[in-house]
Amino acid sequence: MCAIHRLRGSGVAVASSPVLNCSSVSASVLFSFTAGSQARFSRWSVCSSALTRCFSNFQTGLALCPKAGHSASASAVRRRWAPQLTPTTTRPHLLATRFLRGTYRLAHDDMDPSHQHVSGSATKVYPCPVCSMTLASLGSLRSHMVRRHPRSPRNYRTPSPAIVVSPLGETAGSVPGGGDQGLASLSTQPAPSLPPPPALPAAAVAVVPASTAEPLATVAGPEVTSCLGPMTQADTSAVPVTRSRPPRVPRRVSSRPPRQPVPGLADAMTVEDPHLRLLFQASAEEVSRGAGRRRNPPPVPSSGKRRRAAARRSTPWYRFGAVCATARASFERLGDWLRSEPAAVLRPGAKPFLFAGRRLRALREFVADCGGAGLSTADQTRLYKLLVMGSWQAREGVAGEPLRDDSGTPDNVPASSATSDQASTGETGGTGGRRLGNGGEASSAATGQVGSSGGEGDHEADQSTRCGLEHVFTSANAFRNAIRDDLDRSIINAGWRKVVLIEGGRSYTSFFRCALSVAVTALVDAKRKQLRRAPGGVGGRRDHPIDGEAFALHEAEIDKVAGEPAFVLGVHLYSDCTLVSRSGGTSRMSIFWRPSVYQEAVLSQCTDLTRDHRGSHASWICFSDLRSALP
Amino acid sequence: MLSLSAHYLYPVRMRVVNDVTGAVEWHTIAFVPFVRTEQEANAKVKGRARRCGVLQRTLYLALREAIGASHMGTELDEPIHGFKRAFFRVLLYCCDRMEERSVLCLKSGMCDFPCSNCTVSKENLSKPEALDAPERRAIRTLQRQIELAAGAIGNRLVDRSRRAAFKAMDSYHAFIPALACMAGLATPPNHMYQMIAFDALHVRSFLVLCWRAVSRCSACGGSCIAAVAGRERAWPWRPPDPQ
Repeated sequence: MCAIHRLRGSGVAVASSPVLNCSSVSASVLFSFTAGSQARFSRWSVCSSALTRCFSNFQTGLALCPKAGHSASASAVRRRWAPQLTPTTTRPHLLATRFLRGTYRLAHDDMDPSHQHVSGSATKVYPCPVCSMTLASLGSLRSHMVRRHPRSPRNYRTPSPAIVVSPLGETAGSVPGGGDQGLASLSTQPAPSLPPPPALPAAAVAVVPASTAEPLATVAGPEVTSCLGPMTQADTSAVPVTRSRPPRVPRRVSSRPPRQPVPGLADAMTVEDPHLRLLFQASAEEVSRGAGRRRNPPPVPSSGKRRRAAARRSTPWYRFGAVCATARASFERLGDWLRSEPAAVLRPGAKPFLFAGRRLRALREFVADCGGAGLSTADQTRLYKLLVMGSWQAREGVAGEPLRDDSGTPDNVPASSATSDQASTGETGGTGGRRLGNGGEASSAATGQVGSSGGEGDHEADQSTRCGLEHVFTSANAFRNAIRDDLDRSIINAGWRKVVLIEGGRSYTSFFRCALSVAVTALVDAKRKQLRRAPGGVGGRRDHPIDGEAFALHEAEIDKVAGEPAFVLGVHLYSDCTLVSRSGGTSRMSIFWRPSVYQEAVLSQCTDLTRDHRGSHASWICFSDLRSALP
Repeated sequence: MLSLSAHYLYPVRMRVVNDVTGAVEWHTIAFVPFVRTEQEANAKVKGRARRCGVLQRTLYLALREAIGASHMGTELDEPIHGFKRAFFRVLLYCCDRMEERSVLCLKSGMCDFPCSNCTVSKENLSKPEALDAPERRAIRTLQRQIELAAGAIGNRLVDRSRRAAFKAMDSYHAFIPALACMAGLATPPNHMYQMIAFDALHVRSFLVLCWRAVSRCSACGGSCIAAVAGRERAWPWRPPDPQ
């Protein structure tokens, strides 16, 4: 793991070299100085050589780890965190330098013991750089920054003039303590003066890859110096190298769209349906789990997870009086109904209902029902060719009836068939009433003959050939289009709608239509109806579902709420209707072998239901074949 | 199963019975899409959640107008016998156990509370203690389901332990059944869990386990088995009381 760790408890930025992290467990020991590092410190003896190599490579910006990308990470780590390493060096660091002394001589071998503590003394005050609040300790300042200013950079510091680093490591216009960054930079204690860094060894410079675009730097005392070459003062002024941290690069630019806010129950109050909107707005009641409104807004958590959780917690939660209204709102907020659209769309220039007449309707039903799912377009083409070849008659001629299209309206006549109809119409007008023949041989050139011939000799032949399928649909394409138009129009007329349901990140297309309209239509179409039962007419006999107790209870409830005479449109729901229909009356054995203690009760109740369960005006909704679709 | 443009769909059909003529009409009112189990982590659970969500949302869409009519009624174009407003109400739900648990968003299998009518525990099945098991309360159960569902969609924070406790309390899923929106089920007379009848063919072994569910099914006159078997009046007919 190539990352930069920060120990908030200690207040010290701990840079773990990616090289060390990949290969050695002692990586974090080298640069950490926490109190508990003694245990890890004991492991140094195991990997002292690796530690030495890693530290030297860390300083020179190289990576021992062969994994791709670690070299760049090492340079990034060094560029960002190297200035803080030296001031935070403590006893483990000093001990570590003893291992490194043979290969690289650090500038602060003889480090002053006062360097071990970075934080200021207790007498100092720590002003917040954002809100100018004064805090007593560095820890409280750190905590204040995290809680009160979570969106400000962690290593927030007041804008300061650019700090120019001299080749010797001296800072031009430096601010005391300005070299410390990160949370440790919040310390107001001036940084101790450190000895100038030594000259870089040739090996350290030699191993710098030439392709490295960014200026490399080495950890040499408190300052960051460039190792690309000596810089003069003039060069420094020309190309100022600031010690201010470069702007943070965004971690990752995600190609995914931003996360959509999850619609809550509050969104249900903005539904399009005015009745539902009125219901939800009138019955909405905000529910909060919080302790109440605070005078000050609660601090924003620093953790993203906690921040999201707090946002969810602060989202108002509504309930809508009754449970069923809340459940309804939970479905309405999804907006499935608004997103639904008709299941079929008529193609431009569609002319449905060309299958007029008994024979054509039968043909259309065959095409739609054949094999359960109907014929495919290829099969429709083959069927058309077969019928044309077999001289299939599309219409039955009636003696004395003039030739005309059954659809009647000229709009319903397609362009293809309009040719034949126009021809036949013209011929009819010319001859004063033609009759359709019931049979006869089909002729592919019948149209031309009809249009061109006017003789009485061809008249009878025309009568026998004008009712072929090719006269109604001049081509297979017209035949297919007519079937498609009919299906689309039927789907639209039946009220079928479709909607894309997005569930769990997947989209599913669902088709539905209004069950209420189906039930009401069936009820209205019935000749004899019984909507309510007479209270005293039921007695002990319950022949119909309308005589049941459940029906009576529902009747009593709607009488309370309805301001006008109303009735219950009772519905029985069924699942797996195929198996239910097979099981009628066959469960007697399942009763008889039960213990006699329960037999009578079960039998009596079943007898009641036997009376109760008779066909009536109630609609029966069957969840058919749902077993595979069920969760 | 209908294959429609590369979609596998399961039909939801309505059977309209004309009591006078005996004619039976079948009308398909919805097609539930087929939800496959994807190749992903925790695929079973996610697939189950998707199936439940798709099923409930499709049922709600098909019954949306009916749900509104169950609360406020629907006005007929022409009054019938002087009645102009019809209230759509569910009187009975006869089903297999699998469909019943799924449509009502209850846990299936041998969960802690396998009965849909009451809260008899699985340890007390086939014991006399089952007769004293409390009934399922529609309001309380649906309130918890709504809270769980709100927590599942991220609308409201629900602690994980609270979710687990809720789910284990009555053995239900964190989904809202579409039938809960219907008046009369979650509103008085609260027949949400009392409208259930059993398919006698498939529930035979289950009836042995849970006697109480059979004996106390009061939604349909306490005769859930005969809801199926009694259509042909196969049961011995008890003559009406002359009084």
